[in-house]
Amino acid sequence: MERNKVTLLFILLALIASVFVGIFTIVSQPNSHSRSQKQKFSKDGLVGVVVIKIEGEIHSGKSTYSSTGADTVLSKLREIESKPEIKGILLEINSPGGTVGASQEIFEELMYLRKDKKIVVSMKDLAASGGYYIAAAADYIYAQHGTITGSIGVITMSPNLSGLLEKANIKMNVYKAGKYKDILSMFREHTKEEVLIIDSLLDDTYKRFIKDIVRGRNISKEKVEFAAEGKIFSGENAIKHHLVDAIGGRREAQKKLSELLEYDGLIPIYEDEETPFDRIIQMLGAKFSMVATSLPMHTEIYKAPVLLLMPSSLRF
Amino acid sequence: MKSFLLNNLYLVFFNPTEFPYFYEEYKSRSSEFLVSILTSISVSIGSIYINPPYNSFSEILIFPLFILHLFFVTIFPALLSYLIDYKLREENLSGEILKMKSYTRYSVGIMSFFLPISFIFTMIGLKGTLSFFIILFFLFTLFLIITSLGSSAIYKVKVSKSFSCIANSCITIFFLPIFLFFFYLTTLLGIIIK
Repeated sequence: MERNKVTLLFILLALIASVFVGIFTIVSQPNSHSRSQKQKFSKDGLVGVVVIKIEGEIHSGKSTYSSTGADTVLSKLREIESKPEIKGILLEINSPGGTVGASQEIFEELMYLRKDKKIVVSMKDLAASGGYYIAAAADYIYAQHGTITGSIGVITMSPNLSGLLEKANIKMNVYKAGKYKDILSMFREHTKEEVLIIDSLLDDTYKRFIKDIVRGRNISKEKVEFAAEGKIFSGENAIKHHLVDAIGGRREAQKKLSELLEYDGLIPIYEDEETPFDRIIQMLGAKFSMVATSLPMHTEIYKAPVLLLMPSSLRF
Repeated sequence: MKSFLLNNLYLVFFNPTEFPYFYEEYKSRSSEFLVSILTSISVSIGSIYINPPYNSFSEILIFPLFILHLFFVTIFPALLSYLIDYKLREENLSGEILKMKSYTRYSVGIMSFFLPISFIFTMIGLKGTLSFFIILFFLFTLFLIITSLGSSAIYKVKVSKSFSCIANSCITIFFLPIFLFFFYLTTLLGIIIK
């Protein structure tokens, strides 16, 4: 009997010790038992490539759950730049485009990073306009057969409510210093001079867009101009027009990155881990997406009159 | 208290037939509570440990899980012993609910092996929800066996009889809330739709 009690005491002490070991393991070694490659990309010392997702409309500021903010992407890219063990970037794009400045900022940062790291793009449903602008900075572009891409063009829209106001007998008083201060006013017809200014603005942005694609894709200006003018393409057609390199998804992109980096086998992919807390927030975000999560994106896109966006995705 | 705890645990896990005779001598609420605490800590940490990867949310989750498990391991043995007593006393007409409750509270301590087993499972690569339920099923079966040995000694009935009685009681405890939930749901729906 005494022997059994000693055994029990020993088991009790072992159980108490196991509690401490368990707590210590959970608290001090997060991710230590993860076999998944969904680890935080900031984990030091691991050679690999990082997944960055460009989803929804592209705009300045922080990303929301349904759109991509340039600030969020740029901070990730700068973090990658400071980590030599991260050899490449796998960009997953599912975006109809967005604002000019945000798209150009991300494009330029990627072009800078391309000197040291390899970038491969995997297009999802949509990688059009500003989404394609960003993709053009990659070393290699994959798309699915059904991906919609292209839409190389610039757009600005302004409703003309003058007829409606006239009907309702409402007059708008505008006080301005500067002839063109209310250039995109929705309360009157635009003058020829104003249309010329807007055209010139769009033309400059369009030319820059073409130039950057030529620079990023390393193809002739003629080829890009032929595929431009706002035309949209399926994945297969985009290959014919040299906008995309091959058909494929993440698996093919991983293989290509391994090949470009001369890595023996398949190079590990790291992406931001989604915590249960993130999932709860995401669920709540999806519930109130029209109000809460889309608000920053709408605000940013409203601010920018000129857009690199597929017109069909405008949801104001 | 230490000797009470060890004596009671010894009786429950090594010599359940002697438990009714020593109940009055060794009864101690605080040692019962200690077993409940150890069990709930072990299960709450183990359930997180078996589900890697861990993050800051896992650390935060330990405390609410501990509270919930503590609530469960305190209430469940009491409910189970009420039902067992109700079912088994028909045989000999003697109520032994206090003994049974105390015995069940100690025997639920078998669940404190959850964490060490989850260590082993994780080491050999068995992780996730399925492993969690495998461990739970294994330990719960042990709990049923231990409790049926004890109740057969307390109520002086056959082990098979007490085992089926405990299994039935467990089914009642686990499924009654679900039945009630559907009862309320359908009743409310019936009222609303009308």
